[in-house]
Amino acid sequence: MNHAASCADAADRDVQRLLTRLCDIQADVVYFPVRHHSPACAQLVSGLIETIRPAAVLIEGPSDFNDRIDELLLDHEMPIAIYSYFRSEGTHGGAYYPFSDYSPEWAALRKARQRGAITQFIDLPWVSVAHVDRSSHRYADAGLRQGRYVEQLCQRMQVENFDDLWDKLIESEESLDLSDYLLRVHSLCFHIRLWETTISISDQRREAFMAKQILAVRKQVDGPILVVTGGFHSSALAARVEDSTFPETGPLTEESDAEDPALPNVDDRGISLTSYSYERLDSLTGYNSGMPSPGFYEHAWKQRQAGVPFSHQPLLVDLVRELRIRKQTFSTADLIAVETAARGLAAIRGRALVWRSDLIDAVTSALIKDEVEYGCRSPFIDAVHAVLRGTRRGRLAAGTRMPPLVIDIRHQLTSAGLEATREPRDLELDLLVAKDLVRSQLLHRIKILAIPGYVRIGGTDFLVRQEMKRLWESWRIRWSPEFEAACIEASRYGTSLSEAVSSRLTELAKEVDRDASAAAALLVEAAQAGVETMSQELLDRLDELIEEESQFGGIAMALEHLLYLYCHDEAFGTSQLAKVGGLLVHAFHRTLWVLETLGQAGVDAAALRGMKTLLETWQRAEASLNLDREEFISVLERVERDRHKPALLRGAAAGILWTLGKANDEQILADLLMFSAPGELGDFLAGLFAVAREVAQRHQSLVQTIDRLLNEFGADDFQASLPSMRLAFTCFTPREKHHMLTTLFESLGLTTQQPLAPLAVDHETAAEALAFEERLFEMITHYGLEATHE
Amino acid sequence: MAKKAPVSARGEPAHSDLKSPVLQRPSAEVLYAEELAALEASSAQQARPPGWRLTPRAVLQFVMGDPENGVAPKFVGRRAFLERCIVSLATNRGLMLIGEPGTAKSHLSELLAAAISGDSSLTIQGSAGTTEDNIRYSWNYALLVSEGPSERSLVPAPLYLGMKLGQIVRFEEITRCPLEIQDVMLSILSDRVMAVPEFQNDQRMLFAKAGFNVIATANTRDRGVNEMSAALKRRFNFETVPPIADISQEMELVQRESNRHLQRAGVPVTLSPEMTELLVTTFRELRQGKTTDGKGIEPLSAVLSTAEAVSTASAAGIHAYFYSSGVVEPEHLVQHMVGTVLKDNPDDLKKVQHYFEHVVRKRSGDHWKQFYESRGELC
Repeated sequence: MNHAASCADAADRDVQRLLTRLCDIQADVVYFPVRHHSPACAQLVSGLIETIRPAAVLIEGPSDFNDRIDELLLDHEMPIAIYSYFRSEGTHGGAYYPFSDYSPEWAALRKARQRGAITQFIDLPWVSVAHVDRSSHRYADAGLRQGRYVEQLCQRMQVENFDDLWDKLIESEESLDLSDYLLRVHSLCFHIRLWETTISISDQRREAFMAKQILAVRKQVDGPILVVTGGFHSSALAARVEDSTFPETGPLTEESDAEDPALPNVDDRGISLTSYSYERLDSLTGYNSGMPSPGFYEHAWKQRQAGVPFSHQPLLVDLVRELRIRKQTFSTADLIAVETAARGLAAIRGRALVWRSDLIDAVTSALIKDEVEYGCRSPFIDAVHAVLRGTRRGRLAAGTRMPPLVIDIRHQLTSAGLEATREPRDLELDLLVAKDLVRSQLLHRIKILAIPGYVRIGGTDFLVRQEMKRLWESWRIRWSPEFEAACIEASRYGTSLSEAVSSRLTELAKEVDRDASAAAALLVEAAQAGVETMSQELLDRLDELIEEESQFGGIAMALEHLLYLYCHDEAFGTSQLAKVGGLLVHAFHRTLWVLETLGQAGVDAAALRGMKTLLETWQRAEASLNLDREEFISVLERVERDRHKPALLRGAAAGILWTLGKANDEQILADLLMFSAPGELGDFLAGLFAVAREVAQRHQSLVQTIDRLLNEFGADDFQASLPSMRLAFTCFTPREKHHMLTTLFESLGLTTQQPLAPLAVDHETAAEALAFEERLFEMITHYGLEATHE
Repeated sequence: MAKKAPVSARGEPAHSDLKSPVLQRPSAEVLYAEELAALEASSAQQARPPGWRLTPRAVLQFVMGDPENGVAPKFVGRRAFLERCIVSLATNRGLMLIGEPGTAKSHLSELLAAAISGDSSLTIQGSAGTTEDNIRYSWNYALLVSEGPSERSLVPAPLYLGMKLGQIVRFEEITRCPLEIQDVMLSILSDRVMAVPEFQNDQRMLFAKAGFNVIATANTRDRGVNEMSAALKRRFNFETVPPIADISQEMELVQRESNRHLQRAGVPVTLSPEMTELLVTTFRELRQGKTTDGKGIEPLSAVLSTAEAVSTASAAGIHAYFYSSGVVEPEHLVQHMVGTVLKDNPDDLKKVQHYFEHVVRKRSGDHWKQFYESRGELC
């Protein structure tokens, strides 16, 4: 007990010692902890550089960009990002280091340059840790957000999450001075680390690398050094650089100290500047999320810069404007209510200023007059988020090196011989020829990115799939002045063409709302652009859309597209592809489920086509995908027996069961008798024939039963059933119909087949005569005057 | 009288009913009298909205709980949500709590009224038969005839009392009232004054004392019984009470509450953690239309609230005790799910069958297997 207590005391003393050291701005190495994209940090770090005049400013940023660091100082329009990417065998990836006007790293860089200090990025190139750390937003704050310490502190400080905690501790404290800031952030981050059980390998390697950089610079320069890194790393860096007796902040594995850790095999890597947008900065979630609402913090930063106290009023004005644009009713009284609620919320949260979450909650509270499910969207919430997000988009200054995507597109077009010329030219491609297929894929990629100059003017339609004998395409290529701008614009989707295309497709899929067939059509498009453009996100989104689809026609169409890709594709290489197979299985189950819940309405030709697709999926993919036979059969049996389902579907279900050998001939004949009402017979048969064409036409007694049923119909009944009967038999070819009739006549003993005699009168007269005859017979029956044999 | 049993009492401490053994269900201000008094004393010096007994922060502390100061948590919900509710009550708009049945709306409104006014009894129960008399005031006709209209002959209803005393008035299930009755609230919420035309001169107007406000609850399943007018909606801030977000919290609550119910019913049976897991997982998945591993399924149209899970569990417990071995088995749960879950929509049965075939069947663990085996009880 005593021992433990003294240990705890010693540990406390160590913690205190390290904290005192970290907060010391007179030291020769000063550690400034930041939260990336925090305007308060940005302002304070500028002030600190003014005060201590460091000889070198070392910033957490990709050290492989150091030789081009001057490019950052060109006259860019913010936000921009450094984009680091690599490609190696079977995998590729990219990560962003985004900067905005109010980023602390950006402020430090510019201020340091202004003061003539050495500036350097000191972080390990991302490529070296990419295999263990896939987070593509390098200025996210995953390390800070999670963990028990933050959870406890949020509870203690009575805030909801880390964002609110940070706002409460740092951003909304206008009078916060440097020493307070350092103490708060250093102790916050240091304690988060102390409570953390493990520090990731990636973080350990990066810290070892950064510490080495600091020591190297230390040897080169005289005068103080300022180290600007995420607060999470500050304590570890100080411990590594200064004094190894500082408390351990996480177990160090041997690997982390290894000299220059072995890089994975990388075929191609690069780093480059690219434009960025607030929209992207705000849309990052989960492991990639950083500080939200860039528009809001830019506003806060601007007011800080101008030295005026923070006011939320301009944001409210923007909100009113945004809501009016979005055509939402928003009265003056509502505005007053939002303002009152925001102030009230700020007060209950112990804040003098109305801050970000107060605004969001005030809008939620005062404007929404309906049920809101957690995480669901509402036009008001969307509007307030749009205002807080801002609309800023970056643009690179002239003279910046071109983004890699532009280079990639040019390179690929040249090597495929597809450069655009001023004279338009047409190109025809045969998709079964490998060389043409590659060109087609390239052209489809260009088309998906909406880069002008390349238009598909004809070819096989892979969505309708009617003329599949020849797989071809024809394109028109013509130079467009917009070409380059569009390529640069598309760089935001990625640095390589295939990556850009796959993120664009994912984006398109996200825009699709509850329409699985549209989503599956996107997958067909992806197949045309090459299998590697099918990203996991795209597949995940399709999965969601399949799940949301509740129309039978829609889900069946999606199933059909997927079945085509999985089983029938000859050109694109999607056939038997596992990831398509997974979607196919899901779509198959979903189709079965929608089928089961289908009611009377909405059953048409598309539904019949869907039933056929179900059967075909089963026949083609049962073995390779391990589809559940028991489930398939039991669903169909339930559909067949369900009296609330339309005859067409029940017929088709019976047909499938018959084809699969799960229903015998007697059952089918019994079913047929159940549907002998004139309104239903044709529909049932249409369903049955559509899926069980082969079995049906070889079945003698079926035709006989139909014949008997029809003979029993009165004239009116016969007329009523005629259209649907006609429709039912259209699925047979003339030869098949002939064959069926022959069988029927033979079984009835009518051996000679004579063509019907042509009518001597026109059809109207004939119809009149028939009708007259019909009335006559009816009256005879009515009065009981039928002739009898006796 | 009360709309429903307090099954939704999220987070009530288990010892609570020992305090007042006579009452079947003491009101919140009685049950938590000590906590309220302590909070009032500790926040006595701080500013608060006029007419409030506690400061807004102390109200929040009371509802969310504060283990360090010995305040028990009483409601499971997000902090921002509760902050919004409390702030709404301090403004000139009323608070409208909406949500699925069984999400503890009434419980929350009771807690808020008890914390803010120290009295949760000013309650109007909305129904098709609610009249203006139940809301504003009526007369003791014998006195009215003999003495004429006076304070003595007037029989105040909750709204009258709330305005006079400056207290929170609860209006339960407001959408069950016909529109014209709902509209009684209109002028009172905007002008904060009630006319009593029978009285003379300065007594004719009852001006609301500071501290008066209205908490209404409405259940989203009953919308369409009576819509609310836009004018009335405008006078309320709406807050949706969501089902409990965290599965472990929900399991804990269901287990605790159902055991408490069983204990009250004199049945010495407790629900094992496995059974709670089965029940809560099934309810959540069918409610959200999503399995815990993220696969989509079809959500039911029936209400699957936490309160329903508690009542299913207690019914299963009682069944097991009286008709079976005394241990709650998966089959008991399935049997009672039929009654509580499958109310009137036959499609729900299909969905539950589908759920058993596709989700339950693939789960590992003996209790899940048994659960699946019992699916025959479903029809």
